[in-house]
Amino acid sequence: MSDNLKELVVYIVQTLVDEPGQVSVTEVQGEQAVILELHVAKNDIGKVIGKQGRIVKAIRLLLGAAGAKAKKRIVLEIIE
Amino acid sequence: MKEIEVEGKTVEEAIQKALTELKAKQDDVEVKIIDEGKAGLFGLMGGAPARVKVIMKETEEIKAGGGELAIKAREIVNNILTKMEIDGDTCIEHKPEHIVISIESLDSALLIGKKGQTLEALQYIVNLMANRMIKAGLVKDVAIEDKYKIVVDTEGYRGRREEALIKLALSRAEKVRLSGAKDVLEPMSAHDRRIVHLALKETTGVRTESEGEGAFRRIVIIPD
Repeated sequence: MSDNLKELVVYIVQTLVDEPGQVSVTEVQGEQAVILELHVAKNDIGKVIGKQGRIVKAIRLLLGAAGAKAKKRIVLEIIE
Repeated sequence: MKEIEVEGKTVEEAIQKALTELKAKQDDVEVKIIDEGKAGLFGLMGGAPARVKVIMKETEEIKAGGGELAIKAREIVNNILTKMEIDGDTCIEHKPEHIVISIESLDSALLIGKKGQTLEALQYIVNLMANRMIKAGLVKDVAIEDKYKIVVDTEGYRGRREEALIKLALSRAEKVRLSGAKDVLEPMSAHDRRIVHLALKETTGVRTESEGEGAFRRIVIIPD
């Protein structure tokens, strides 16, 4: 499942940023949750977060829904 | 061009069946009556079913309103669903002001989320991605300066939500009219507030205003 979710984040984010080549997601297994760490170019961070965090919030909601089906909690963190 | 032949007890019933199947409105189709049918004795014996052929029209909107954009938008929705591991079928509906991508899925409740927030999130992301693709020149038949809106719906949720909101608005307005005291509704999205404002525009004895900022903006129904 988490491979697909990583792809989901990469797919959405690569479309939104100026430097798609710099987008990557690494997975950290937590005890309760799967943590996805998203790496993007420094100049693209704002494009992923969005005004008042709207974009990242929307991505987190989609991950939440996908996680709910697999009974997993998914955490998305943006790393500089 | 899409066309189907359908049978029904009456011509009207056959047309309705066809429209449901094509997910189209009467205006979007051309109807040819093949057989008007006969009502049998007491509707039981000797009757012949009515047969009609219903053909989807290629409407102006489909040509002008970004046919390629609709296909792109549907592709985006399909890709997202696959990666979310949600099984679903999508189809495109063309409306005058926007494109609707409609998802049929057993997981529609999951896709809708609390108060529709997951569906809102999906719609927001799809619009963002489509607009980026237009800017990048990946969608050919749309002009960059035009704003296209893609609506994502599932299992008729948006229509149901609108009905529920109108019902709520009318019943709360009735209370305000009877009691003469203003009533504050819970915070809603701009889209939902618009539905409530419109629903109460013609209602006498009350008027509506919005108050509060951002996510807390809500409607107040005031006696007039």
